[in-house]
Amino acid sequence: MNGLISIIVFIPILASIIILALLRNDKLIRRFSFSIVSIELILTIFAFSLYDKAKGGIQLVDFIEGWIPIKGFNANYLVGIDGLSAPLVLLSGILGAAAVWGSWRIKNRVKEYFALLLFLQGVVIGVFVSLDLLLFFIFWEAELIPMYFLISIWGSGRAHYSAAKFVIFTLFAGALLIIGILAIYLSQGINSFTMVSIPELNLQGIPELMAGANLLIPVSIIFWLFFISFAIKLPLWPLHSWLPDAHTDAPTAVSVMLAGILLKMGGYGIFRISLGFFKNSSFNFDIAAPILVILGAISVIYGAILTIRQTDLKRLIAFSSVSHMGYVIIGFSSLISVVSINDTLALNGAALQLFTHGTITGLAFLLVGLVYDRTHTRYIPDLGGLTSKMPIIAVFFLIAGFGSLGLPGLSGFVAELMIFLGTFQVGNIFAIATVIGVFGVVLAAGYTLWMIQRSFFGNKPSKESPVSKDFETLSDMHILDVLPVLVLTIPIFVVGIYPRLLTDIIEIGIREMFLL
Amino acid sequence: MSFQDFLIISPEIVISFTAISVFLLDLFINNKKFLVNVSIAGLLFSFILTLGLSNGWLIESPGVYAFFSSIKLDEFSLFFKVLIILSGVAVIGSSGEYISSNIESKGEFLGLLLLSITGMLLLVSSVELITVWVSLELTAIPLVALVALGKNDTSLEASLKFLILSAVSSVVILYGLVFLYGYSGSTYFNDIFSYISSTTSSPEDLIVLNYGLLIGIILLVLGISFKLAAFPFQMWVPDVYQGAPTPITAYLSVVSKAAGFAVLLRIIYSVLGGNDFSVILSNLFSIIAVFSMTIGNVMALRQNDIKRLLAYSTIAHAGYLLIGVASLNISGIGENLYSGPQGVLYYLAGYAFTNLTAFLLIIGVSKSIGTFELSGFAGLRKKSPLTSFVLAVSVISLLGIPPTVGFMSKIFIFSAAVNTNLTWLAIVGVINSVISAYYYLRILKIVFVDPENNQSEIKVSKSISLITLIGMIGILLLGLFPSLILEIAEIAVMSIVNI
Repeated sequence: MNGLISIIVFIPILASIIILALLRNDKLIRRFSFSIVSIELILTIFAFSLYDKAKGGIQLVDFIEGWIPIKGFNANYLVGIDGLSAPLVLLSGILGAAAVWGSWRIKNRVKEYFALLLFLQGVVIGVFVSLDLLLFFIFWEAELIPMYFLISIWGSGRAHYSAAKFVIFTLFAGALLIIGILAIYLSQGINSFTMVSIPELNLQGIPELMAGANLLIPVSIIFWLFFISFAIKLPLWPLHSWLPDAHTDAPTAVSVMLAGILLKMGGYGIFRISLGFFKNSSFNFDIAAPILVILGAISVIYGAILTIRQTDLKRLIAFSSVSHMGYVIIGFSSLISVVSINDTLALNGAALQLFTHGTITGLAFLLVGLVYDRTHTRYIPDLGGLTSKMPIIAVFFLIAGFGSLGLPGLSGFVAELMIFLGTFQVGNIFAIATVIGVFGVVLAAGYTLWMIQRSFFGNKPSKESPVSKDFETLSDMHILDVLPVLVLTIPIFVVGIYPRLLTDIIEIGIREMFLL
Repeated sequence: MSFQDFLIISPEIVISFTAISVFLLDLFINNKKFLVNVSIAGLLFSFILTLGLSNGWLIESPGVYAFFSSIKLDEFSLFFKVLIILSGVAVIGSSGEYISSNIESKGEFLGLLLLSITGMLLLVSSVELITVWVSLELTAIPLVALVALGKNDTSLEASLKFLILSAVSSVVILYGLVFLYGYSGSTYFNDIFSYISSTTSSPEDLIVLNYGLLIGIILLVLGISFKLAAFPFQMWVPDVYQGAPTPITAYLSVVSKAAGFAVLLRIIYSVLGGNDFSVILSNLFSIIAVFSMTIGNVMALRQNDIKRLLAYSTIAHAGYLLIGVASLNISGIGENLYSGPQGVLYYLAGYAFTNLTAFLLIIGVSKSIGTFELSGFAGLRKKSPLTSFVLAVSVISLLGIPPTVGFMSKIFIFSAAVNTNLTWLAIVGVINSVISAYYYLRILKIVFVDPENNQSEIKVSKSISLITLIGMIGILLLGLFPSLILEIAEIAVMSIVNI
């Protein structure tokens, strides 16, 4: 019993209850939330640095046995971090801080807004640290309540439609997930919700038990139940249609959270469950992996092509997420060829991509939010020449854009390079898919640069544009906006220059999944 | 007949005496608030007696028969008695204001409600066919009058529909009972059970020789589906729920349903035990469950009246509950042998908290806004933040999102289904709960997002606020610590299983 991880999960949740029940003054609520996420950021950095790479395995474990002690339904309270979840916990700390710090402009229903945002941060971290399947599923579903309200109350456009679409897609994902969870739990020889083995506590995890289990329903059905569920969340083509709507209509901070960490729930699930549970089971990846890599490649190209055609800044970034998450699946499919520790390069890259995409896209959404606050439009043809009025925003936008298209020295490059190198080595269809995937980077360069060129450089907005009237009065970044922008920009550089900071720890996590 | 027999039905005796005294006091007393207090006092006294029966203060231990073995006091009936009495307290306790403004015959309202509760209490403990039928009638007939007590025409229409369908279902049940008696030669559950288990060895013979019994059981199940608000007797639900006085709607949706499931479970596990009838029954329940869920959820999508919407939602929930009933573990393997009925009991307890909270809030709010239209709830958040928060918790629980009891109930029900090789049914169930998100989210949207469209002030009476707050705490507490109820449910289920 260590307590640190539980504190990280429950501080924001408790804070949201305190805000709802006790605090009345808007100013106070804002300051309170700011300090809570700052504490949270420090705690997640602390937890990340506490992870002992030499020791490996699951660390900082909190374990309460028999949370639901019913005969035949043994769920425990079990949280902890390993090489896979530690970077994602850190990412949640960073993104949560950026989202709350970046929300100081919110004037409407401040109390509920910050309570929901903090609650969201708490439950999403809960998803990453839960090592008990039922607990994992509870956090997975609990995320819906704050997201629904955040999008539908503070959103713009067809906010309720998008929020409901988001909830229904996620509930559907949850429906498949729970059937998979129950099928695994109730199989003879498993009867456990524990997601990983922890020798110190004498806990045998499902990955270990899967090999000898007599499964209730065929293993391939269970695999696809889980995979489709995570693919909706990721999202992977053709299950992505909720994402552009939710992103476009959500308020800035929620887009940041959504792109930054909520999509990563899907990616995390793919690694923890689709890989961790099934790699040592009787499931045959020989058929699945080619399908995955093809879907991944389609996602990359389809997402990129749609991105080029977008005229709304937010929608554009949203579609680029579909493209970037495709890389995760391409990298993930290389699991088929892993026989030794040297073959996990692409998998490490895919896990790293989760982190890098979180910071880069989070930053992009934050900056689009800043632009929108000033111009009151996100319609690209209405914008132009913004650099002259907001040079600092433009600089950071360039960083986000270059990170997104994979400029060496920034974090996106490292992750994508690892994915391409690793997956190409597998050969056959994987090599072809990788080549197609690389082409996606070219498209990414195209849409990113074209978007920046049209909105930030070039001519001032034309006379018909609503922006042209107030163009001279547009201001640059406010001093309070520097903090959230910086907290996202620093990891992009740090990871880009010194990727071992994350890859070392991710490698430990991936290696342990293969029991290598 | 000994004194202990009377001790065993002392909760029922107390409530029926309370009912009669309420009728009489109504003639002499002008302060009708007093009648509410008398009713609650009676219910609470009978609650204490029930606790006494379960703890061994009054009798040595549960599991005893009374009145020539027609009534059995076991953990199962005690579970339901507590559930029914507490729901009764919640309904009557929060309807004081409603009664004084909307109901003319106040004494009759309370008295009849208490009589119906008495019938429910007898129903859950009866282990003999005639007793079952008489108790069923005792629950239904007062309800016909109660539904009609609203002041308007829709109330009368609802009452007439309720009367006719209730009579039809009673006849169907009676017909089923006749078959059971005719083939087994006894009206006692235990005798029928030993007849069935002694007749034959091979499953084919069992069905061939006893097809009459099978017909009887099927008729019985179909008739009881009226009580459950499940397919094929679900047509009355929306009209009656809409037309009836709202406290009665709340009562119907929770107590009536719980008692129906109690009878159903008792018949399955006490009369049929674990033999091959169960396979056929499991299929029958699966079909009823699929239809109930789908009809309920699809029809609820387009409702604009909140009572009607919740009426369809209760049909859907009856469907989820029937998944648990269908999950009969025939082969008798696995650790969680009776996870199905155990899940049903937990679900019913959670549903009582959830649905009562929702309905009682609707009583409170609709009194102020003067309508049951969903659009009338717009801007509720602004006028009454606490009320809307509690309403949100109950709606989220109905939808089945953590950390509420509705989420856990669904997990247990679906788990039972997967455990008994009914994975397809669990999948239908989860897909249905995805569909239900659409209309539950609409309620949340109207309450929290839409701008207010009328200026009326919302004043929810203190008693409703208190009871719904307790309900909300129950929803969250049972959702986070389900073992509070599940352990009791396990003992309760074990007490009715005949092997």
